[in-house]
Amino acid sequence: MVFSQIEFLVFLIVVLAITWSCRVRVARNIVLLVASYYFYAYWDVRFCALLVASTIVDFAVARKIDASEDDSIRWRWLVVSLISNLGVLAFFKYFNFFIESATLLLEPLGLSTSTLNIVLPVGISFYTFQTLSYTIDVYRRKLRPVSSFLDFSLYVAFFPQLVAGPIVRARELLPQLATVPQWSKRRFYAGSQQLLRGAVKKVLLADRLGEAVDVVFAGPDLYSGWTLYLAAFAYAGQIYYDFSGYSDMAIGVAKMLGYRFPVNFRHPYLATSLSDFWHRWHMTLSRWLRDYLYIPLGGNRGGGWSVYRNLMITMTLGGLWHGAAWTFVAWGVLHGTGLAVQRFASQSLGLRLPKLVGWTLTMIVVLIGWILFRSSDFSAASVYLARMLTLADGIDWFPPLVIGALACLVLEHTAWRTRLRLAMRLPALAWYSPIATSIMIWALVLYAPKGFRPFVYFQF
Amino acid sequence: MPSTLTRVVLRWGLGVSVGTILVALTSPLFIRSYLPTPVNSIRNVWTLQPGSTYRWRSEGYASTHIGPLGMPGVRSMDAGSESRLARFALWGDSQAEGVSVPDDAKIFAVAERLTAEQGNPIHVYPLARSGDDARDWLTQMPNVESHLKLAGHILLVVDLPDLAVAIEPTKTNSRGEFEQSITKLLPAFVIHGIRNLAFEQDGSQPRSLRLSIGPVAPSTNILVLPDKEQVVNTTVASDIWTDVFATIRNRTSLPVIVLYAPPVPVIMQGKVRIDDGNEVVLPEIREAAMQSDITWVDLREPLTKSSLAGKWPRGFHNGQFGVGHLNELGNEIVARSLVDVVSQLELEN
Repeated sequence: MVFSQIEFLVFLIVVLAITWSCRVRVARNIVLLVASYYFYAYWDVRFCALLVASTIVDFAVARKIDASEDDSIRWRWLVVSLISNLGVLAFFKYFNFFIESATLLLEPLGLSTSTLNIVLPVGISFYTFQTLSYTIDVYRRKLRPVSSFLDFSLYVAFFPQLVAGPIVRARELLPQLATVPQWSKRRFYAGSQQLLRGAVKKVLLADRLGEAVDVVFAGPDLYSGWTLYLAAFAYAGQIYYDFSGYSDMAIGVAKMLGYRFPVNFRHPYLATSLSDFWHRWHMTLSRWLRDYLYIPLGGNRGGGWSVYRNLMITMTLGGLWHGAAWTFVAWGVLHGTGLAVQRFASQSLGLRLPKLVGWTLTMIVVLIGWILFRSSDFSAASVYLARMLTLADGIDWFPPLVIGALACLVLEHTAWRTRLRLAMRLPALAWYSPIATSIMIWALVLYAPKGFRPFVYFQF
Repeated sequence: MPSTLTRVVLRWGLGVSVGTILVALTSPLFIRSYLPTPVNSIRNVWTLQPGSTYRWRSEGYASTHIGPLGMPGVRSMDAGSESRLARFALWGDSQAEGVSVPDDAKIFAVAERLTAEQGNPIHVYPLARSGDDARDWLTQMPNVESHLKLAGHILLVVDLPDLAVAIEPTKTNSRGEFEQSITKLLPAFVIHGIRNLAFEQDGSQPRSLRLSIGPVAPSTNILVLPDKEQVVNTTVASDIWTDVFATIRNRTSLPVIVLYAPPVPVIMQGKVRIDDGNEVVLPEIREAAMQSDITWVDLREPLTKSSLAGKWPRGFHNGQFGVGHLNELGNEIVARSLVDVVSQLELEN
């Protein structure tokens, strides 16, 4: 089930009605767990087995880790969790990728390989990272294992964040699940506004931009250089509105149910450096990679080349996390290189760029990165970039609604830096909130593009 | 002093009203019109309301004046000295109807202008309606012929099945009373909203909610794009064409010209496809047309030539180039071919 479907609205209304009428914690959590499994089974009931397995393994492993004072035993149990979680992820997400990559090397030697028909379970990358954070935190003694299997099962499967984040850590959500949230009109209203805002971002802006993006990226050799520029900007807008829209909806739904999720986006296209960009883009993934990969690798400790190495490893694996294709790896390498260059320029050369220059350079790297990210392969990406840079001839296509959606992106980012920031949240008592709310609802009903488009990040 | 609840209800009631008014005022920029479709006594089919303006807001933003007999883009019928001009009826579907381009760029208008410039003016009456096929054209031909004193018929055929159905029984041309009354009662944006909420994407079936668990067939779950190898046009059995053209010929003794303008070249999945999938059957169709004394004009060459020169006859900025309806250039290409063949016809006569 997807947040932007009418079916989800029906589901949410039922779940809200039942949960808020349940004042017993266990009963409430059971309702939410059943709802979460239904939400996941709506996609494909077979994948629920993976979710159950992941829940049982990590619940048991965390208790084993906590039960022992012997570091080697604790480490062994953590390895069990790492292997089971990453093993499942590797099989479902990367098996065919590795086989296909190996084929390229083996074919010249006369050896053949074959791939399997594997369907990627929705959200596997997200809930795998969530459960890993739990066992790692218990191993690091930053978190006591939870005693309630029900609470832990709900933490893993909680439907607002199950399939595409935000990646909520156990220590953020488990304490909230241990109590019955207090009803708050204000919080419920804020959540519903965030849900509506997310729906507008996804349905009206991301999907509109996606219509043009799909067409141009499918045949970049047909379109003019200027149209390729427009489509590249459109993809930057699409992926931002798609994912931040999803995050808004997830956070909004959680708020309506009485829970708090961490923020996932903070207007990333205002970033004046690449590190600033990663503090604004998919923030829950950035901090996961920082805390569970970059810092264990050594982080900034040691200085010199080891920091650059750590950056490159983290960003490359971050790229691979997004998808099983070399273009995603290249995207990660591009960002890793950019971060390394930025660090070298500021730390070793003492270079301080004016903000405008920093912003321009950041956006150029980000945009080139998005072209790699969206292209089907390197050949398509190189055709795209070459035609764009040479302003090649071709079909000049400038869809007015795409330009309008991009204007929204610029206006939204600009307004967020002004006093309008508060107004954009549509406070409950502001005179303009009912007007803006009704316009947004009408716009969703009237102007949603035809055709259902899943969220971009579902594929990850 | 009103209670807090009353104040909240008043504030939201007023706010929602203001928001709705703003949406209503701006909606003509983005939403097509929904017009009553009365049955025309001469054509004996429903047409858009004569005298009204039809707004198209999909691919192509254009407003169309609906003229006499529900003809899109026609301001008035010819009279006086002009009435001696040769008159042709233009039949087809939405491609010939041309509501996605301005009135002066529609096929009939361009053809009339071109012939006037050449000093041999004709009248072309656009009688095409969206969704029409040969059964609709043949039903209307006899009455329209006598009423408009026609000199010939021009059929713009984009999909061969639209022509092939000429041999099938006549279809009913009715629109529900409810649909008629709703267009009179409600503003377009409300009808559009109801349609979006209550019906599936194509507007033909009531929306159904799926609340069962998955997996489901991919077609209901993800955006479906056309298959890469899919042929553009639907092929039709080759042995029916003699009957098809004989049926048309039985319905009218006037000259009939078929302008064949299939949706090619088309851009599908980032590739340009030139073959309409009917290459094999077309010579037989042309032959069958000749046997019934019907002129067959193939527009694939000018359409392809224009596309390969970078000027796409189909598609719009607010749609997609290479697919969809004929744009202004496409209308002009069709109109030029129409003028050429009519001039030829007049020379022969």
